[in-house]
Amino acid sequence: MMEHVLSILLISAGIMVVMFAKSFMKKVMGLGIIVNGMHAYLVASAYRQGGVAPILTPGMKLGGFVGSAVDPLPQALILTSIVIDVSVTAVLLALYVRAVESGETP
Amino acid sequence: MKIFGASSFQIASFGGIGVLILFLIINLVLISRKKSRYLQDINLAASATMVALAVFTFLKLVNTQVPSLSMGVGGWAPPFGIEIKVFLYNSILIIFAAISMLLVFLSLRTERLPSAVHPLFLLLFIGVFGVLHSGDIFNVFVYLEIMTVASYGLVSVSGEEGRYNTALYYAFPMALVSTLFLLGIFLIYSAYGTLNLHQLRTLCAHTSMFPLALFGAGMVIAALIFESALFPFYLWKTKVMSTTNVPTSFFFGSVSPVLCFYLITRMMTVFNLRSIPQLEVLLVALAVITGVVVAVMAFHSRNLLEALAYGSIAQIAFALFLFVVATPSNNLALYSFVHLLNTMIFETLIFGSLMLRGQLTGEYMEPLFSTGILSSIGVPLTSGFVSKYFALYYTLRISPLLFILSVVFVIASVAYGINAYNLRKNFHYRRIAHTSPVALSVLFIFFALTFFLGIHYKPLISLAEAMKSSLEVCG
Repeated sequence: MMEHVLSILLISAGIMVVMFAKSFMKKVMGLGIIVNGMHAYLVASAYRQGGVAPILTPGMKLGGFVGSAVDPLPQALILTSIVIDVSVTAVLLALYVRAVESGETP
Repeated sequence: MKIFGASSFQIASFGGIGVLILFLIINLVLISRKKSRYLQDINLAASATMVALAVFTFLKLVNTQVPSLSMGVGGWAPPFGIEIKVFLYNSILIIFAAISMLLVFLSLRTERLPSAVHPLFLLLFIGVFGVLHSGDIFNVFVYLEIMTVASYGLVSVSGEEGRYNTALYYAFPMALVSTLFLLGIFLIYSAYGTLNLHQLRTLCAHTSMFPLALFGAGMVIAALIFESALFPFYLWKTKVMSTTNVPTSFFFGSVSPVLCFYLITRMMTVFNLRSIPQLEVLLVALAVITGVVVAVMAFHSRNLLEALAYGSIAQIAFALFLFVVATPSNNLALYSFVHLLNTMIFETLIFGSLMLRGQLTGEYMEPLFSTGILSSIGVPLTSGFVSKYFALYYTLRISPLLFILSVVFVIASVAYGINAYNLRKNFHYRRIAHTSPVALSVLFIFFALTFFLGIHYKPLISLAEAMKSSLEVCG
């Protein structure tokens, strides 16, 4: 529960930065904070107390494995999402740099 | 037919995106070696391959007489594996996207744009085909991001003064909207533990929706409404379309609205959102306000591309209005699909004739452009008349209020159509000496379809009925 609250706080902080920051760079950083807050939310949702990696090793009982293996999908989703976020941030910053260079400061 | 253990469908559907990635790499290699002159032919070959694969997939679907063809990438079953799914609705849109891609690359023969637009357009269409093929919502998000990142680049290479500012004006809100979409996806996953659209549909149909998932689905729809540029989010689209190059405008005015309508209808079907009256009222209100606002703005616009941007927003708002107010007892959902098909035809004619204007002499360009405008207004004997006539006829039978609201959309179409027709005279362009037969023949098919389907409208209705049924069964 605490993890969920913290991640929602992180998302809220990011929204505040996006809404109230005057600098474009800070707005992009705010966007990054929102996305990372969302990642934290998903990690918190997928957390399993005493969970094991979802790899069935020899000697492991199937019943116990099913009962304790964590869901691998959220980590795959977050990993993909991080890559996308980095790409979008890079494109936004590249556009910003070009805008500044050509005297079109946003 | 099996090729290296994969069926012909797998080769055609998944292979299509693979082919584009291969061509993207070739593009980048050619640009890095300063051999940009070969890009034209290479990318026309890529477009022709995509048209062939799209038609093959459609024929495969029709011949096998199954509702859908699907494939789990890597042999993994959902929710762990990525599912690629083709049914009649999206297979028709895949053909439309492939033809649009062909038109874009044909137009780049005469557009004076930097060579960087070639790989950017390829990336853009990788995103479009990916969204249309995806069977799970996270994959839809990934391909939407690929598409939007490519479009940021395309907006910034327009050559106009202030293009970087325009790109940022478009890119930053879109990045925020993507974040909203992603948050919606994560909430849906937290509630159901899957993002596969088929599994989600089964779960939402058998149990009442969890509040968390409902909130997530609401966020996804809100993000798609922004991407569709419905009121109050229409300003980004008109600003971008009026300042960028014509092929990019074609994408925003023709392909992007169709894609957004597809995603909204699919998400509403999967999450059973049409059973929520409050959402229905909200969407109808948004669509009608959009119709009124864009009619006024389009009529006062002095820029042809801006007027066309307002027009494309109005058309998609009308299709969405018909889809949302439809019930199982009335035929309005069917006419929303008829209108979608018509929009695909006349927007391609309008933007296609502008895009390929350098390769068409006046005697060809004028009738093609004018036919597109007449069909978008809904003049009799054009296919655009069919959807507008039946929509008005059925809404009058259902309720006078719905009829009046439909009339608003028809007035919006007339307002933008008349203004766009007048503004075409001020549209300057470079013309080459001869008419390109390829460009002319592609557009002539759409020109002939406009009149053929306007007179013999039964094939249009049958196709729309098949699309609607396939969404209901496989969506």
